[in-house]
Amino acid sequence: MKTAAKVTTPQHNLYRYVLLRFDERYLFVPQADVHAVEIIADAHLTRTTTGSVGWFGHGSESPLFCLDKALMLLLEVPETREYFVLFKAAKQPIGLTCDEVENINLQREHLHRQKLPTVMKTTYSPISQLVIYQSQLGCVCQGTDLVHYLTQLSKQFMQSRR
Amino acid sequence: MTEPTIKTSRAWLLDFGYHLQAAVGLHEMRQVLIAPELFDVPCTPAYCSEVVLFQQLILPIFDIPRLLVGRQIMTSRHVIGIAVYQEDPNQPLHYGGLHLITTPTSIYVNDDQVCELPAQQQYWEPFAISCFFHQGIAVPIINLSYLFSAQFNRRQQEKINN
Repeated sequence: MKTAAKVTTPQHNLYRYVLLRFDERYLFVPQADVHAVEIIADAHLTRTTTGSVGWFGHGSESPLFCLDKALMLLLEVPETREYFVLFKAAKQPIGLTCDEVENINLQREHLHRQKLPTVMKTTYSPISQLVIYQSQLGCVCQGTDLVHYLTQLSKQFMQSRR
Repeated sequence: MTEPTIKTSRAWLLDFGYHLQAAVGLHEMRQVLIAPELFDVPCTPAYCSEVVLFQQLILPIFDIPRLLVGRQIMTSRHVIGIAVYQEDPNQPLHYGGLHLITTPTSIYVNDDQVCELPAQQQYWEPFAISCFFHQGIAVPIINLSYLFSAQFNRRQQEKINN
């Protein structure tokens, strides 16, 4: 098994983020909330009944999800998705595919996060802050919020199939 | 006997399309941006799903037709009014964007133009401070601080979730 990049967080750093890019969507997640980054070739991609696009790991498998630009479930993995990021979760990590992934230090890059405007909040959104990065809009999510969001999407998917 | 003086105020007349017009006070419209770059934010209400960058601030943009009549504002070029509001006089100024179909028009409004909000325009009621008659139509005056408030957002989310 190849590992693309192991993310280690010896010291909790509020400014260290992992940036996931897919479908022109930029998602920033605190590095401390990331378990690992892996290459998609190491995943077992298969149709599932949970809305995930496959699994990773042996024994206690982690489900992998694929989202589009609107952060809705994709059931087929686009060819551009080369990586997946495993987020820490209570039971086992939960994965999200992406085209590109990189470590970003927001402080070093002089990136200033702003709270998601009150009027844009929804009960289901995992987004807590916004940031402009390389002339694009980045959405900042806490790992736990993203895991909760993916879990909810999966539940909704399973309910819709009944 | 002296005649009562009629107070005249200046305001901006805003055209949202779909025969939806409203007004804000002269000092409540900071600037108008013609065809700025807009960024969509996922997992947001349909009536406020985009942001614009204005003076280093990421501002939400309100789509009034989407909220009131369920139709997206249609225009060949984006016209964004940058509105300014205060939650109370001791609070700092806040900014928010409004989708318009054309640049706002400066008008004079007299006290004797005040009218009731017509029955067929009651959808304005939650965020209309008052209303005045102008060139044959009733024009509501928008309560900007309420429109962009957490209270308004909560009400809308409750409606959607119920």
